[in-house]
Amino acid sequence: MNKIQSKQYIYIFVLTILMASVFLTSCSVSNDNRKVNIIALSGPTGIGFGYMNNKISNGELTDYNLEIATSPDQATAALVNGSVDIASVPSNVAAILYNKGVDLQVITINAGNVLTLVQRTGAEPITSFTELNEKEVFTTGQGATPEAIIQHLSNKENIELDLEFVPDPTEIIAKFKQGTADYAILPQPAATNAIMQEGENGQPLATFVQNIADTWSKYYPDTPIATGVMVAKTDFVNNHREMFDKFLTEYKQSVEWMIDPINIDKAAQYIVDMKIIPSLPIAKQALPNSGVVFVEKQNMKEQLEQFYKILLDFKAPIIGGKLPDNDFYFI
Amino acid sequence: MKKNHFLKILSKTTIILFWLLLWQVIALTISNNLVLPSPLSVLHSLLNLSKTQEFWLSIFNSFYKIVLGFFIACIVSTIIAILAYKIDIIKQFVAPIISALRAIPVASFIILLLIALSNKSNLSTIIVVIMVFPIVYANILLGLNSIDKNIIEMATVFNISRPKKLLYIQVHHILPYFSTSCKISIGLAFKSGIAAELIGVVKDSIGNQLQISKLYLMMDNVFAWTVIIVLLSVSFEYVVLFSINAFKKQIEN
Repeated sequence: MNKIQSKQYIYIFVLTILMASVFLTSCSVSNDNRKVNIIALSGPTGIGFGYMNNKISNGELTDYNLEIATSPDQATAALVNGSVDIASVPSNVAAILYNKGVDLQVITINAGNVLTLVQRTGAEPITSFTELNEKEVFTTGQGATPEAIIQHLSNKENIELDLEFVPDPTEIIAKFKQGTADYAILPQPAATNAIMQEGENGQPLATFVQNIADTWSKYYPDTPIATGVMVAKTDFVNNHREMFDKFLTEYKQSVEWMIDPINIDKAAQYIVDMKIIPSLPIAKQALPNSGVVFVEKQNMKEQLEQFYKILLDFKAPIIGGKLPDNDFYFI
Repeated sequence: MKKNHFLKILSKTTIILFWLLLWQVIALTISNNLVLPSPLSVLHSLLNLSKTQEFWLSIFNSFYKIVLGFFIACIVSTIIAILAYKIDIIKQFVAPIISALRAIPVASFIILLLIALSNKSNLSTIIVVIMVFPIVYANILLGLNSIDKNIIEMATVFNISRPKKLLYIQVHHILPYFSTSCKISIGLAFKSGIAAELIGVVKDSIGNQLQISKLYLMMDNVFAWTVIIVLLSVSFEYVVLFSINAFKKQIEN
C-alpha cells in the first residue's frame, strides 16, 4: 500500500512541476517583448518588404515575424482571426473587411498599377487595349480589382471583350505554349514571367503590349490605380503605438530602398529570397514594372477614396457595398 | 399506416427545426457574420439571390453537368464491370486504375485537367466521372461476384426456355449493390463537381458563385449556395434511389 501511494505522490509532484513551468513560461512571454506579426502577399505588395526581410533573416531586426502568403485568403483569415497585426492585402479586400466590421485601418498604398496587357508571339498583333474588341482575353483576378478595372475600361472605351478567368497565371502561360490563348492581362510579376518564357524558335513566348495604367489615365489622369494596401489592426496601433511607429519607419525605408534603381541587383535577390519570384533575371526585369509605391496619409486617403468611388459606381460588392468612412484611413 | 407516416414526417421535421434553432443560437453567441451567419441571414440571401438570372443559370449548368457525369459514370462502370466479371484479364488490368483513381486527390485531377483542357466548361462532368466510376464499378463487380452460382444453375436447368427470367434474376440481385454505390457516389459527385468549378473558375457555375461570394466576404451567400448544393444533392439522390426501388419492384413482378 505504502509503495503505491508514494508512487502516486511522485506522479502528482512531477505533473505539478510541469504545469507550473508551462504556466510560468507562458506568463513571461505574454506582454513584454512581443513581436509584430506581419503577413505580406507574394506579389508586388510584398516586394517592398525585401530589404526589411533580409534584415530580419540575418538577425539585424528581431521584433518582427514576417510571413509571405501565397493567397489573399491567408491574409484575410489572419486579419479576421487576429493572428496578425499588419497585413498587405488587395485594396478592395481592405475596404470589404472594414465594411464587414473587422477593426483595421489602411496605412499605405503599396502597389499601384500592376496590370499589363501581353500577347502571345504568333497571335494577331495588337498595340493597345482598345484593339481587344471582340477578342478573347484571359486574366486572373476574378472578383478583384483586375476584373473591375478591365470591365470598367471596356465600358469606357466602348469595346466588348470576351473575358475568360483562370485561377492562376501559370494556366495562361500553359495556354500560350499550347497556342490556345492569344491575349492576356496579367499582374506583375506574372506578366514579366510570361514574357521571359521561351516560345518557339528561341523567340520569347509573349510580348509586352501596354500597361493598363496608360488606358486608365486617359479617363482618370489624377487617380492612379491602387492595387494593394497595407492595413493594421486598430487595436495594435492604439495599444502598441511605439512599435507601430517603429515598424512604419522601417517599412518606409525598405520600400524606398527596394525601388531605388541603384539597389536593383540586391533587391532582385531579396525578392527571390522571399520566394515571390522564382528566378533572379525575372525578378530584375519585373521589379521596375511592379508598381511598388509608398503612399501614405492625406495623399493615400485622396487616391483611395477616388479609386473606391469609381469601383463603387461600377461594382459595389467589390469594396463591400459602401465607401469606408474616415476612421478607415490612418493619417 | 397513415398515422405512422405522418408521425415519421413530423419527427423528421422537428429534428431539422431543432438543428436550425441550434444553429441560430450558436450564430448569435459567436456574433461574427464572417464566421457563422445566422440561418435567417442565409434565408435572406437565398431570397435575394433567387431574384437574379445568374442564380438560376448557375444552378441549371452545374446540375445538368454533374448529373450527366454521374450517368456516364454509371453506364461506363456497369459495362466495364460486366466485362471484368466475365473476362478475368480485363479485371486485372482495370484493378490498378481503380486503385489510382480512388487514391489520387480530386485537386490533382483538377489541376492537371485545367492545363490539358482547352474548353473547361466540361470540367465538372469529367471530374464527376473520374470520382464516381471506381465506386460504382467496384460495387457492381461485388454484386456480380456474389450471385449464387447454384441459383443460376437451377434457373438454367428449369427455365432454359425463358432466358429472360435469368437476366431478371441477375439484375434484381445487382440492384441493391448499385443502390448502395449511388448512395455513396451522388454526394461525392456534387462535392467534387462543385469543387472543380470553384478551383477552375468555370463560368456560370455554382462553384464559381461560391468563389465570388467568398471573395466579397459575403459569407451569408456562401452558406446560401451551400444550402442549394445540399438540396440539389439530396433531392437527386432521393429521385435516383426511388427510381431504382421502383424498377426493383417492377422486376419482382
